[in-house]
Amino acid sequence: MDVILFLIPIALGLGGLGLLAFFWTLDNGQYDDLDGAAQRILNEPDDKVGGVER
Amino acid sequence: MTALAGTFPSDERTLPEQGSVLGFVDRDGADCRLNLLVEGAHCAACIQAVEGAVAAEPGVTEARLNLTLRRLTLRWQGDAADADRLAARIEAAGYKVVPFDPEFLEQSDQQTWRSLLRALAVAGFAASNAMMLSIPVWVGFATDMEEGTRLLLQAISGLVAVPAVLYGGRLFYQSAWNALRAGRTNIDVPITLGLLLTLGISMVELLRGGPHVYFDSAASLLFVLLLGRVLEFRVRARARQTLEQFLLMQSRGATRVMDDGTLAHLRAADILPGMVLLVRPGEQVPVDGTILSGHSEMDRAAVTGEPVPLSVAPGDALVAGMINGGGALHCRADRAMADSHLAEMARLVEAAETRRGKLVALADKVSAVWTPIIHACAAGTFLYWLFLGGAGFATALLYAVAVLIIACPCAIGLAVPAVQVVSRGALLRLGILLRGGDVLERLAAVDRVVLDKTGTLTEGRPRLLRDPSRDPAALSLAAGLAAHSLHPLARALAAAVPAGSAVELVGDVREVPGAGLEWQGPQGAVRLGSAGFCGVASGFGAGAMEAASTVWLSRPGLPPVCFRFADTVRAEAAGLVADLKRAGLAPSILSGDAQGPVMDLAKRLDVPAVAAADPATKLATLEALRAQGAHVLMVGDGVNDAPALAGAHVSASFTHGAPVSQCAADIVLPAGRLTLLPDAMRISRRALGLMRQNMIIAAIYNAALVPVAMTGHVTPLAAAIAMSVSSLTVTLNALRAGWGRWT
Repeated sequence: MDVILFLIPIALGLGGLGLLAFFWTLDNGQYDDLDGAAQRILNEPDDKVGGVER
Repeated sequence: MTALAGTFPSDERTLPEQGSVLGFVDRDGADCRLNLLVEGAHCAACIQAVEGAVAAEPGVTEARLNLTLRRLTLRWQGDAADADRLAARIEAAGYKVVPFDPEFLEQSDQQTWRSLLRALAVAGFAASNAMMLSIPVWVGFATDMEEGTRLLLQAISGLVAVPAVLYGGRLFYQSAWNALRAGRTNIDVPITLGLLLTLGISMVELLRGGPHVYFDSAASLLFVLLLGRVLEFRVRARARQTLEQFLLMQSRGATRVMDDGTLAHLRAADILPGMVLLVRPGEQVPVDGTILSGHSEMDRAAVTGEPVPLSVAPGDALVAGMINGGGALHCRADRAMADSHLAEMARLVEAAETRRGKLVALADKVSAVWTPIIHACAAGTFLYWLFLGGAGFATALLYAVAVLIIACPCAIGLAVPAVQVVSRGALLRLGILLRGGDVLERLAAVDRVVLDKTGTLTEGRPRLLRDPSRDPAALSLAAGLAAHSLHPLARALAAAVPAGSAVELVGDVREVPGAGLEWQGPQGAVRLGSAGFCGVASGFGAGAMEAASTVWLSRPGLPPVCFRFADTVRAEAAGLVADLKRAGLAPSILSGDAQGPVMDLAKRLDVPAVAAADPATKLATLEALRAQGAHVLMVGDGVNDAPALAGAHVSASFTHGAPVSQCAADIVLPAGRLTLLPDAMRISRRALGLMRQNMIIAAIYNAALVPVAMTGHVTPLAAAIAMSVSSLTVTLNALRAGWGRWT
């Protein structure tokens, strides 16, 4: 059963990484405009629309 | 009109339509930032048009439109004075913009949304991991797991769950605390108690080495509850935009006529009573005032909803929000912008919305009954086991907490939002938009319907009434003259000529603002316009139809011909009224229009009516109905309906209506589709039925399991199963709201 001493921290650590990644996307404003995000895929990608930050 | 020749302080082409936005630029060195509300952006093409209009401008580093909130964030390097040029570029692309101060218009919605998602993610992480650790423990009870291993697994799940539940549940703790401090109780009170007691007793049990550890239950409970809140938030994402719409309607700039006759630009907010202003054709009247000189026709659609312009002359009053449809006017400002009609209406709307915010949601009503019962059961359990059952203090407390955990209104937290989301989807497929989570509950309770006239029951456009005795040549000549004008009656006249018949084309037509059109024909002057303008004695031939607007045609040597116009009733209106009557909803008309046309329509539809009601009167009428205990559905589409829409128990507007009315209303129907209203009400009643069913399902689970918990026989496994099964049942039941065809 000693193997769980490794498995549990690894599982929690990986889950935690996923959580941190989600926080990053959240702070990046990726969920602020879900309607707009759905519509933007229809626009041509090579325009300068959206400013240089894209 | 000599004063029109004046000097302007800046080049007009670089100034946006409604005046300067300079005051709103946020500047940090060379880095400038401006927030704009953008009206009329809906789709991918709009994003491209708005952002594209400014993104290629020199110095612009960011131009990003948030389609959910209709807000554009602009950043550029350089001069703050570029702001006006950039705003003018967007307006040239066809989107009206208004600057706003982000501090002033709350951005808190955005923040709430982010913190909700953050809490949900934390709770989801904790719930899945605690569950992962709990399953071996449950299996371990059957396969004689060593006690040390079990305690280790439980301790780790506690390490994950305790901080997560403390962090993720802040929303509930805060709301429960606020309610308790105000001497009320809401759904969050039992949730908070359940969560915190579960954590507490689990920690005590862990330290004692006992089996009753509920960390997984606490975490998954929180996750499910937060899921319900996230769903609810999505449903009411676009609420609270009414005031922004009023902001969009107000004019930002005005032209002042100085004492020496020169013209000066000023912000509309800086207008003081007594100033003399110039209102040019096409411009909006910035503040309430009185005309000093000039004649014109004012488009009142935004103010009263009436489709026919009002002729004005010196001495007449102007109301902020009217649009000058004729000649240039000089007027004296009578009030500052903050005291003018539009601002007054915005205040009425705000007050009405605040009042309605105090309605109690279904879940809170249920919890008001639920909470005392459950807490009494828990207290009874504790006292019984402590004094009569012979258990120790800790065991008695444990059993009492088990009651709370089992009874925690997890299913209730999910029951209502799940139904809301599914029903909203069903309505959206019909093109009906709901603005607010509890709209379904309120719509289902409606027992009276009040309808606006212009634009709702009627088309909001004048149409030429047929008159068999009229000379076809007169119509052809009149249409030829009318084709030269943009006046709504002239347009209706031009449109009334049967397809294929000849229109007498005439040249050199002169338009006299506020009077009519004149053409010098071979036999003499031909005039089309008001009775006075055409030399018809007032009262001549009138009386037959007071409800209609009239236009006269005078020709040399021939008797004058009268053209009557009326706002046509929508084809669906009679069907809707009949439908509503059959459902016992006592429809009535509440209109800002004049007595004649309103009563005429009321008689045709056989419903009671109130005419000539201003926005405040409309609101007061609804208040009076509310005081009689009625739950009123208000249907309207004009700006003047906005306060009534905000103040009614529930309200509906149309996509063809004024944006302000769409924002003030709870339901937005597709343009002109009156018959969808009964469908929306049917869906809402079904939704309310499902919500109640869900509450009953949750109550049955409790009725079955609370007694088991009171006898002390609930294990953590039983609690986990009860919770997931009840949540699942409730969610599946909610899916039924989307069943069936609604056409």
